[in-house]
Amino acid sequence: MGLASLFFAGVLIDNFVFSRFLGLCPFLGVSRRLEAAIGMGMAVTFVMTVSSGTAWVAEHYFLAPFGLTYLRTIAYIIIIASLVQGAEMVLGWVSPVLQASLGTYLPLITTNCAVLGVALLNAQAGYGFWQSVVHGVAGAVGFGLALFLFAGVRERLELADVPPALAGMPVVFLAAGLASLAFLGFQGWAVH
Amino acid sequence: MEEMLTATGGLFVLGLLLGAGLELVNRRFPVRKEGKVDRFRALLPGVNCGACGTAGCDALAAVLARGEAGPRACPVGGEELAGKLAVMLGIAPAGEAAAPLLPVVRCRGGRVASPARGIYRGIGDCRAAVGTGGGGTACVHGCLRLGTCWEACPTGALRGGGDGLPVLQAAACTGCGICARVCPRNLIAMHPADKTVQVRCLSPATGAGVRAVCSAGCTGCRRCEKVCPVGAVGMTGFLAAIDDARCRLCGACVEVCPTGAVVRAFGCAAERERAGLSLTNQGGEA
Repeated sequence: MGLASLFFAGVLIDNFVFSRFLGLCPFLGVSRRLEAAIGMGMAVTFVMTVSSGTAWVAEHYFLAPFGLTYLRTIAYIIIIASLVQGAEMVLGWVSPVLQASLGTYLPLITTNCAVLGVALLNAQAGYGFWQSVVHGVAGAVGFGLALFLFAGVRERLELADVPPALAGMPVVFLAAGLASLAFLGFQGWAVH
Repeated sequence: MEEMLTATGGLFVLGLLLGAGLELVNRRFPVRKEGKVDRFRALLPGVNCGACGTAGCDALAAVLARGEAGPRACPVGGEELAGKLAVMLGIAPAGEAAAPLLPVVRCRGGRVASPARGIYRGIGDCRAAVGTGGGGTACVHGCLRLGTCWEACPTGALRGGGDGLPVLQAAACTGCGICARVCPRNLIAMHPADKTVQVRCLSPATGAGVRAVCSAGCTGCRRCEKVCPVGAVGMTGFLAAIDDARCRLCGACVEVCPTGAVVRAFGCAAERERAGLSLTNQGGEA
């Protein structure tokens, strides 16, 4: 599978939110307003890209040589968490403005299931370094796309006349299910 | 056994390296922001629940620092936090926590004290009644007893009492002031909760005029003005007015008032102090 097809497969066919059901808590938590959704999407893109690459390095230069691949999950968690923490410190020094726009979201998504999921899926599929990074970017873009689309849906839901029994979260879950059904249509695509 | 040692040792070394790395990064790139935002952030609960509508406590702190949110922006912190934020925002003076504002209904003309002059059959809303014939109550300055205020109350702190007047459950009140805004006769005023001696009448009519329609209104007899030891009570026309800044809450005026228009409200402050209860958690008659 080429890098381009890997990218499109990751964004649409295997969308992290709508097909794999990963990262649902930030998806539902921050999709209320478009502005926050964009900030979250940027933060996720940053973290998932960096963590895919780092996880590959950790896998091939630390876990595999020592025969510790069964510790993959816990090792990835501490590596990614400290990496994000360090990146935030550096970001705060280099560009306080960028840090302010990403800063709120970075600690919130440190090793959420989508971020950890992309690293584990890379290891399971046996991707190379660049494949891992592209898959990470694709997953994050797919997550950002889902967040962006759904923020639009929710801004309209706020104004809709919802039956009292469904008001609030229930109707949001229904809408998320419908959006997921729409993305199911992409499953028919074959990517080479 | 060797497996176990490798696993434990491997993770230990990994954790150690990452921790050391973070420490190095922290020394090389020290946090250099210690501004307004951080002072707000330090006050907030830090649970990042998002109930305020922003993405977390950091985001709310930034909004507060820009002055775009009020002291009650955080629904989690309650009155205690609201007091601190008000000081930080420069709304309340430092040193003392600002007393919360509670609604005072300046009318005691219930069904018994102020009987109806007729039967109102219009829309059951005070604003509609004022807009049409003035409702069914005898006093044209008093409460219409149609419940617009308690229907507007978002927390149910204001409810309809047995005599048709709104009754406040102070513990449930958030001090939002919506009731004060919807009352078409401006009978509800937001009043500091620690100023418990109040005049509960807004009728500018003469003593005879008040007595003709209500047995609980202020007739302008001036007994409260004469009895007040600190000169806190004055008259505005035929209506008693209490200067909150001077009032010592002694209650002498409450005792001499012949109609009961001057009252103690929110429960008596002195009694509450004796019981060791806080100002905000106490229900009271309003």
